[in-house]
Amino acid sequence: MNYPVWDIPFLGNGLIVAIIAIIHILISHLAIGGGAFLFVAELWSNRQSNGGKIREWLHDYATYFLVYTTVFGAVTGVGIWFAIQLANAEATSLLIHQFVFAWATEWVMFLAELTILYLYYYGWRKNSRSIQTFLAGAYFVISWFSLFIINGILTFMLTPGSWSLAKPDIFAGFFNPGFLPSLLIRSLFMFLLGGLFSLIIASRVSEDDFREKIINFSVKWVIPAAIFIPFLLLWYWSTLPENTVTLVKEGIRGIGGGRLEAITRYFWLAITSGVLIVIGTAIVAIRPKVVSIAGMIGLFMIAQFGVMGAEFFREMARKPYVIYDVLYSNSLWKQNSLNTDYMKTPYLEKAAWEPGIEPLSREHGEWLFRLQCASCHTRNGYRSIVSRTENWSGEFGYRWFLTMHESGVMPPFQGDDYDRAALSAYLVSLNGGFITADEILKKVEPEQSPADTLSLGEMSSGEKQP
Amino acid sequence: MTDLAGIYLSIISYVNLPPADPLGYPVPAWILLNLSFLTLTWHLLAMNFTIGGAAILLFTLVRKNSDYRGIRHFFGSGLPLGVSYIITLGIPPLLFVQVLYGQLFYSSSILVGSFWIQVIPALIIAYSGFYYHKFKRQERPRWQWQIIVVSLILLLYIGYIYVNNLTLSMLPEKWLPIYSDNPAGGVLHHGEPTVIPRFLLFLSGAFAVAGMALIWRGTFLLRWGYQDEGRRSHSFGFKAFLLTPMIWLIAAGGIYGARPEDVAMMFAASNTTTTLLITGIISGLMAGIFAFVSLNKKKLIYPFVASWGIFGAMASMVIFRDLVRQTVLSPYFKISSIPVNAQWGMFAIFMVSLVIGLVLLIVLSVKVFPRMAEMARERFDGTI
Repeated sequence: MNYPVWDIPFLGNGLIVAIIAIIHILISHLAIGGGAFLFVAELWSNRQSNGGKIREWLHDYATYFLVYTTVFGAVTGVGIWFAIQLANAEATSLLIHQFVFAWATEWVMFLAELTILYLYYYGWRKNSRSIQTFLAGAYFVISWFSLFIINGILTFMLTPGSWSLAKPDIFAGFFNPGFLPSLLIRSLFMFLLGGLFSLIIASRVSEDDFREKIINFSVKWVIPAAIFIPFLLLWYWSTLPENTVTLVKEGIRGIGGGRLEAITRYFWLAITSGVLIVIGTAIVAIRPKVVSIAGMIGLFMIAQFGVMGAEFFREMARKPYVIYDVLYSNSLWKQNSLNTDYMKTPYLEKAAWEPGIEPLSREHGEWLFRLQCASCHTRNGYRSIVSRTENWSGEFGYRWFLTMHESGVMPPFQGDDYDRAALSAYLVSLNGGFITADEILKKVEPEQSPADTLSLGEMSSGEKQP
Repeated sequence: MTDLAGIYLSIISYVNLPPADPLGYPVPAWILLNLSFLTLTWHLLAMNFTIGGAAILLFTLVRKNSDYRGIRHFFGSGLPLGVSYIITLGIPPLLFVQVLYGQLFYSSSILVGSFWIQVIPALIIAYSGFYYHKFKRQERPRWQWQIIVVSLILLLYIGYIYVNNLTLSMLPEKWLPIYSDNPAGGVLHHGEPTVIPRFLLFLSGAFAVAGMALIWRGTFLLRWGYQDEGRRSHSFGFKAFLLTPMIWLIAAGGIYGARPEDVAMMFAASNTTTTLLITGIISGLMAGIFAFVSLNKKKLIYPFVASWGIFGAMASMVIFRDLVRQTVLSPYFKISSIPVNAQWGMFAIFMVSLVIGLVLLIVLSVKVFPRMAEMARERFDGTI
């Protein structure tokens, strides 16, 4: 509403956020779990007769770890910022203004962990054993604190708890109901990734006995996640909003706009990936000889699919909000949605970013779509509006907009009858149909013509509201 | 300032500036501004080191002179770290600009969205290129200079997108026509004549910072007894340094040429702008003089003073830049109009963690650096 909508064809801004986030989440968790792995492996190597050989291998691990996490992890982390501000500036602004010093503190952790990682890696040949072990430990602890902080902000978006715009209590928002179960799940998941990454590096070792030794050490990192994550998921489930639980349980077969049975599919994708990782790791533990680079990369990629499922689930679980119960996905504030006068005001009077279009024209519908719908839907790509409205008639859309929020996944429509007619006509036209907004109005309300009820000049030149 | 504001008042009617965030500022604006000045200066130092270093590395790769072997190794190994700190030190200024000027910054970012998001893949490719060079330059010497060219061009491209976006964020009167023509954010060139000179201005420090890094290197090499390589590093570093004032003059001349009345009014309206310019020039001169004095000497104090000179010049430019932004935006946006809803508890946590974090890093660095230096010396002795 207050900001322009980045109307990116086919992909849609939401998918761009998702692509970057899915890549980043895997790497960022590895960046912490791998740190724990380095620390424990340092301690382990100190107690082994072939400790020097283990440390040589560990240097190999650290090289790939360093490049992978600093190049792809750090840049995609910044990439999420770039993408979310483009996809939903209003929500990003709220998060930044509320949590700026939490983020700034996380940056301190990031600066520290990165520098320590460099001191650890570049000092490899000369640092004493005790310094190396200390650096690895410090890296892990500090990077875990960065997870602690970002976890508070991420869970706030789905379960803001007692935080409200009227009473923006940062600690209530940060330590929200989802905070602890999410932190524990992420912590166990990162250990798992540290182990899976190690299996990839171990698969490069040619000497059988040594390779088996490393594999046996690595598979243990999956065990805590395999045992505890199912219970933690039940805890996490209990913190989810009622609407989300209902969506997953029943699936949504809303007419046209819903299709959020997808949330259930993504939920199962995450669960199935977890089960496959546990099975795959068990096979590796029993038969270490099966380990190959391709196989272990495959196992790691299953974790990537698991992240994809979990991330899409988390995003869909918030629907129709981007910050639950505070801000809708299309930047409509919940508090404004409760004001009937505000919601019924002709949309063009409120929309700051429409370029002065002709009311009831096709452009009227197009700009309504852009400013109210394009934050979630593309025309014919990701979350295609064309496929969702292919059987619509102009009158159907006109009526459906009034009740679309009842599905639990769509925000309420903003605007008056003319806006509904214009948007419906536009959506029908995207499917190759032809009906004007004027004709829709005549069909649904034959006794009332637009010209009788509205001065078109007033609509186009009305002053915008912030 | 009032006159300049008057010019912009005439165009206010076309501006649709989003309202400020309902939460307001989390601490008084002066704190946010100073944090942003400090961290942006750090970020620019890392950026200038990397871009200047990449240009010097490219020069040494193309020339293939064996005298440049040490310098090639220095930048070849150091550039991935440079990019890493560009990113890390770029986070807080990005954070604070969103708090201070969110409604401007978000709007302009969306208007150039399709370019703005390209920063991410461009940075990944550039960063990977530097790492590839670092790890594979001995093993696969072919195509190395071409890889550095690609990485350097991508970094410059990112810088150009940044300057373009941030310049556009100061010109809200241009937003609506741009958006209505390009709602996918597919437009970058918007006819603003100061974009190219501003871009050059931010790059002008590249050779000074990278040259200064070489002077530091030379000083340590002299202290360790490597006379030839130390002198070579000093000499090359100082020559590179001298490019900075030339680029700076071209950039400053370009800005004046593009908007002579606005520049004159900026100086007429406020003494602060003149003070900042003089401070910047004096700092720059101090840097240049002490960089020159450092040549062929072992004393650390000279490069130390020269480095502070660079920091001072850069910081003056950063503050000057913000003053220009506030002046240009004054008809329709004033920092003082944003309410403050203080979060002192969170601010205290941040400051304490910052102090502890910096102390920890300094202590650890003091412990580890001598060992790294030992490794560097062994490399020079040909033992590794």
